[in-house]
Amino acid sequence: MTILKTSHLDIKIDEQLILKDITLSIQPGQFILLVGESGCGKSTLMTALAGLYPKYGGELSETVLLNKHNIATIKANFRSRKVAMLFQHPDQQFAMDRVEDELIFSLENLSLSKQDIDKRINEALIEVGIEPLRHSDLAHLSGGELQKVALAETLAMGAEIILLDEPFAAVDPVHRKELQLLLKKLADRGHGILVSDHDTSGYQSLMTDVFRIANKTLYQAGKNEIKDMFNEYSPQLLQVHNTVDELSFNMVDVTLKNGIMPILKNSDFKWAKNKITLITGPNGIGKSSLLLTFARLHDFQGTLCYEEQSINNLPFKKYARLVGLVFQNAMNQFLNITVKEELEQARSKSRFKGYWTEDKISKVIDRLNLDGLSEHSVYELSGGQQKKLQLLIMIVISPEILLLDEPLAGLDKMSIQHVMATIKEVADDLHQTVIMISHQTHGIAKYVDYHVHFDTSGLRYEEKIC
Amino acid sequence: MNETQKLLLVLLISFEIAFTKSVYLNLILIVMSLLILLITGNFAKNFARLLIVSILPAIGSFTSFYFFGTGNKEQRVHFAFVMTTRVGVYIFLGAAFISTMVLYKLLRSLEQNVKMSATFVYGILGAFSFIPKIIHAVKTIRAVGMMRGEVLHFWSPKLYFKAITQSLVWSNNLAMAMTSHGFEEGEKRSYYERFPAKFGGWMIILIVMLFIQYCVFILRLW
Repeated sequence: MTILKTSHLDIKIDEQLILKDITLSIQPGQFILLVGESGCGKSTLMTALAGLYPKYGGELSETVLLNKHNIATIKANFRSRKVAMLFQHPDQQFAMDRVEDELIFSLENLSLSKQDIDKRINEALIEVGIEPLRHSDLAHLSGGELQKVALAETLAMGAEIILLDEPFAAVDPVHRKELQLLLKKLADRGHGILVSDHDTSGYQSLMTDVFRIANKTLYQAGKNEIKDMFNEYSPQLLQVHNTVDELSFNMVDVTLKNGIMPILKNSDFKWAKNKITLITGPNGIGKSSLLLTFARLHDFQGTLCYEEQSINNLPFKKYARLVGLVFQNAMNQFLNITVKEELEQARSKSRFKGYWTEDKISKVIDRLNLDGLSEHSVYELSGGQQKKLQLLIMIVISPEILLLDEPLAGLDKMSIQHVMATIKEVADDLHQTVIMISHQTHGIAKYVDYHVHFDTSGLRYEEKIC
Repeated sequence: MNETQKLLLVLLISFEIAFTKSVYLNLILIVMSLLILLITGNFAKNFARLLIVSILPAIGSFTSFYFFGTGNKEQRVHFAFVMTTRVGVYIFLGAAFISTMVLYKLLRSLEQNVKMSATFVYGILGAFSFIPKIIHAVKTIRAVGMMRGEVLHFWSPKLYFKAITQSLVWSNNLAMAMTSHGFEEGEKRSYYERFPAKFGGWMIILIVMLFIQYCVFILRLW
């Protein structure tokens, strides 16, 4: 039986105390949910438990024990048979460029024979339900599919304890449910699971324990706290807006492709002006490509007009100032090093300098819980903090149309409310059009004017958000 | 013939023709390379491009050895042709090698046959898979710059500084993921697919090299 444990552990990164007095043990059969605000140290804890510190930077006051051995001193090829980790950025965890080659790579590390490797790959792919992706290029898979590949890889290696760092941040509700059930099945079969997630929905019947990080330390959540945590959400209805009167984008006979895969075929669709439109839909359907198309960063066929003018008629430099995109990967948004430099740049280039006074900006910073970070490097921020900062930069820039690709991924419940309220307030004040993609939809209906569902049959307006 | 043997053969030929002075031998090698390109189906796509690439160095070496070389006119013409065709051999032989090579197979074959370190193998593979990502990142950074009211020209240091920082973050994340997936420097690994040096391959190397010696030393081709 494999047990991973540590007691009274302090973790420092760059001489800064991130977590203190951590005591935790993970055993086979346990399904532990780890919660806590953005930037509280969940990823740091996972990385330490996976034995990747001090090799990759952190400093530990105590050892993390894997069956009584210091995990950091166990060789990676032995450690990975027992403990493996799924990382927050699904696209940065693969050494190879095809699914099968990636699995072969990790199994070769364990010195397995060809027969064993074939057997394990087959079993793992079937287990996770991604047999058809075996020969796919990783570059062509969606976030949810990539996380399934990563999970299949840890299963193939035989890891008994699986640490998952916000694995569902970019995963749609259907895939999320499937993966949650799969994790439960693994726990029942004797794996120990530790998963961090901001969104607690779907876990109530699955998890065995809940831990929370607050004030730099870890504690087990009590019964009452757990009860509050799992207020399950029900589908929300939008206040009714039947027709789109004023148009921002107008798509006529638009065809979109992702590589050779068609995403949209001869689609006609009208998008509202000065409103907030939410796009939902399954992973890999092409939502991000659609936003990139609006931003003129993805090719299309047909006619796409912005305020009755074909978008290709405007010079790109001018167009980019009208239509701003908040990328799914926050790192893409940054141009400078520190938080302060980023915000100063945004303010100096804002279209509404009078509106974005220093006072106004610092209020929003407080509201988004980004205070005290101004001298930090943007690359040191946690995933959630990066998301909030990138959004802040772009709302300060204030383009006419703000395109948001998963702005709520990896944010806790409170942050989501603050972020949505800020977006709504600024959009109303400055008459902005907002088109956003989000898998995370709980409690946001009240901020949204239109809801577009995107699936294999194309785009359509719906009043219900599931 | 496995990838390591192919590489060895190309290196041997390149080394030898750096010292031989036979125009005909060079021409034979060029024709053989073209045949390989033709057989592997990369001919049409590559030929025009290779020809364009080779024109400048070919003309350059011809004129410099013809006009500024030593010896009488006949010697200078001969040597100018030798140098010109030598350039052709290097370019077309290289192209023929690359057209039949798969980088993954070459590196894995070097790992197995000449014990190249796995860290090096996966480092290079990782670097190559980063190239399209970095090109894409540079495009994205420029677009982001414009959205944020800053035009980043291709000579702008900010553009590259940002691309490099991003690559550093990626490579650190990738290194962590590889460790988590069981990769440990210097540890024994198994091979899913083997790329053994084949007897036939050695025979081809032997025959080709003997043929070259025959042309150079027995026939003494011009």
